Amino acid sequence: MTSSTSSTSAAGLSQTSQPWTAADNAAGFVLRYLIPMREHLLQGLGDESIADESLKRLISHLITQGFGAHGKGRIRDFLMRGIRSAAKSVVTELPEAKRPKVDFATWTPDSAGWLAHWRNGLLTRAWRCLERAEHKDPTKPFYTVLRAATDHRDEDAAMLAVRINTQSDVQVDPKKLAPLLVEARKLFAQMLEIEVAETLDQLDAVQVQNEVEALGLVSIFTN
Amino acid sequence: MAIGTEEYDYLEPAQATDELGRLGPYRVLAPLGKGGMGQVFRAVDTRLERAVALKVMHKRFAGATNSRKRFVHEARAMAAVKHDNVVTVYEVGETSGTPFMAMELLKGFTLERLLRDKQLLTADQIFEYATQITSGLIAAHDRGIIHRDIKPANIWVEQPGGRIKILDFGLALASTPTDTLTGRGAVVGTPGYLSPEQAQSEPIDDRSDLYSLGVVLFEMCCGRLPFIAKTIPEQLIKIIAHAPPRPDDIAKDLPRPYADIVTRLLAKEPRDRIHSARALLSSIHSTVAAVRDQSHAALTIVTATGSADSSTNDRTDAKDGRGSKPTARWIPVAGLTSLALLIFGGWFFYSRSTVASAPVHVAVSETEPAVTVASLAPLQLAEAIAAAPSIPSGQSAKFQLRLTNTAGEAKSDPRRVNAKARQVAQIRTFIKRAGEAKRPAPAFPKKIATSQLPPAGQTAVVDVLFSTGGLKPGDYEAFFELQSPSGSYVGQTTSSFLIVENLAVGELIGFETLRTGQGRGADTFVRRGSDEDFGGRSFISTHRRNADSDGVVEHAYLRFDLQTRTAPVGEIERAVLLLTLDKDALRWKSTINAYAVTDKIDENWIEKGAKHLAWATSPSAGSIESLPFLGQIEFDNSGGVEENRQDQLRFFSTALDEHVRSATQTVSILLVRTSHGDKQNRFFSREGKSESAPALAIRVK
Repeated sequence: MTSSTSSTSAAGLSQTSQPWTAADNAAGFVLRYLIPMREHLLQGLGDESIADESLKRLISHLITQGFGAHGKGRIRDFLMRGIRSAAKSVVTELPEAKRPKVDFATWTPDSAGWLAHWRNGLLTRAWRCLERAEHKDPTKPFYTVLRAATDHRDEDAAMLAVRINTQSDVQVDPKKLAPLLVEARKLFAQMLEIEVAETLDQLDAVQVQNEVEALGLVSIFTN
Repeated sequence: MAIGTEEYDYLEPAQATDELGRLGPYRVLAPLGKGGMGQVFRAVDTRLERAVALKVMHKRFAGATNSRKRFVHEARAMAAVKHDNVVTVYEVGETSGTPFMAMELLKGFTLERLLRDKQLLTADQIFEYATQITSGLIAAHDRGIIHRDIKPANIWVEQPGGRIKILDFGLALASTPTDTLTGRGAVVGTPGYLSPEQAQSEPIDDRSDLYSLGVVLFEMCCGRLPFIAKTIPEQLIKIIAHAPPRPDDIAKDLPRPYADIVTRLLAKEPRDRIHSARALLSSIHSTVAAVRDQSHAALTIVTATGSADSSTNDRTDAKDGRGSKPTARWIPVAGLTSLALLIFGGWFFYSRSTVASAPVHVAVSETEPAVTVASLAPLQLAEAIAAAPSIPSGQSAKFQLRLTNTAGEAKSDPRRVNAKARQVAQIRTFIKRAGEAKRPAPAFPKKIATSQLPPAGQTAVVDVLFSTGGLKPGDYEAFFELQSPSGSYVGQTTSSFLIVENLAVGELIGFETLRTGQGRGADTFVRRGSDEDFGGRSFISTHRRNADSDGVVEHAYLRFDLQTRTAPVGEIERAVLLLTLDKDALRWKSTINAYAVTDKIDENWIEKGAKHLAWATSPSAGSIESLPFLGQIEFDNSGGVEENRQDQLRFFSTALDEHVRSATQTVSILLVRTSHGDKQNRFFSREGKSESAPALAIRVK
């Protein structure tokens, strides 16, 4: 795996690969992780309105306070603590009868549930980034081919090409599918690497590597 | 008028009493409004004595040299967007460190004011506005400019006439990828109209504007935003994570195809939206046409016995207690209609004018009874007739079905039994290609209202349309399934159709492209009464001004060198002529005839020089009608939508195939405009843009 800064330039992305702690606007920045936070809140609280109220509280806090003294380490740890604290305060204010039973002790930064939501969130962002690149340059249909290959792992190149040619606006020569896929996987890995790097407070290759392993994403960089 | 307040201290002193001050050559007269990036004034350009709207960059932003430079640079790019639906920028400049932009001064009001005043808009008006806004966006997006703040306050309704102008590209200027004004992580835009990607401060593309346009359309249709929130954080959460309501769930009489367009624009993921403004425009055009067709189809009632007419229909309705005139039974309906009018802003008027049964639609209560399959048993669907035996891939397939009500007595008549139901049945279409599985056709179910059912013993003709986009050429079978509203099977009829290759759209796969710039290729035009050589121009022209005999007439001549082909030689199967419209082209509908230029011309005609092709030496001087006619090219460049789109205009016909097939070394084609207009049709010539020069795409067997 290359360092995150070199990946950025290699991918030619408009995104900057800066640590999250350098964001000028804390509330605006964390909105990019709203979906995984909300998924976790929904799963833990079982109530959409309480989940959204908790998110509102966290965002409002960040608008007024920024990241504050806790703005260090991994942003997923920071956000886990943030949503736990916000959810606790919202739940506490509810009338006894309406209060959901929640075991906040299990809401830890390394809990399997949170890691799964977080991982999905980063993958979704990387997919979106790949699709955006294809929209910008339709002659390189990396998103379409990789999405098809990922969703239909059992199909060979010829079948995938037929599927892509009939189900999308993209036309792919079956013979060119394999090299396209190689390039698409490489680009996707670069984009994911940037996503991971931005969740850390230091752009350090070792830290990125560790986080990729912690999130169970190593296979994306090795395949 | 005194100046000197800090607010206007970037202005130079006033030189007249009616001025606030001066900015370069502009007399600044009065403030018109304030935006995030600066202030707008009514002003006069002293050089031309022209009234303008002068936008001056806010001091706060003008302080940074980079921001200033970028403002001017980007504003100049934006000024190049010349389109009827985008406010015209006359001048961009900088005076004493203050960047400014002079724009046309418009009469009228913003769409925001229109909505705030609760003015009634019909669906036709809404989608006419949508057409114009989309056309403006096409012009901006084609130049790589994303507006980023599409909202009713930035959409001007010009008066008189109602022409739409998109205003204020302030954020387009402020938020380039390298933006330093707003800071990393900052959310930029107007909360209610932000796209999910803007709300998440992600990089955005043209599809972000389409989302915002979807919000504007939703608001026009429903009188409210898709997401209502008390605070900005709540608004952002909803934009990012909540599914928007369907507009037809709120504006009940909004035709479903319109609601589908708005819903697609509001997709969370950009990839799930209509992918470009150009595609949206096409979608709006086809949807408006389809909705009108369906409305007309709903009115077409014929009888099996050949005795029905409108009076028969009225009598039958009267027998059911549902005469065409309002009766006591419908008095509460009128009340409900008024309520719907207040809440949903105008759908009643639209429905009344286009759908025969609109009052029934409006009157339906929330406790609509279920429609059972048994109650629909007397309905028989038969005889699906295709409007055309073969359909070019991508065009709409249209079938006429006959729906007969075989009920023998009133108690089994589906119209009576389901009189209180709004929707009584639907027709779903499935298609099957030989050797492939049956699958749903790309179409929404055709909903049938009770009032649209034929009376007992009669037959109604129902039109069904579906898209053939993405269907491969070949033989298909269509299955039209009559279903209850919940999707239970009632009956079906079938038909077959043939999808043929459509060379008008999509990639020309397997074709080799020869341009007039290759080998002995050439392109020029000749003008009646002139022997000037136009061969060196950057464009070729077809022109016919006025029907009079003394009007300007110009014909274009193209020659392609078949010897420059690199693909294996074989019998030519198909040929397609490709043209690219230049920007100063006639912005209207045009019709051009294509002729084969054969023995009436020297095969080695030249563009310029001593023996160049001119009117007198070309077939144009004689009887063009004697030349082999290849076919007609029709296109509509209204609003400049077809301009500068490489090889966008395609012409193909079997006659063209034959002409190319019969040629040995070169192929010459004459283009003659048959429609009239005050401007030329200008196409890029080989001298204008080599990659967009006229081309002949050829495919061999």
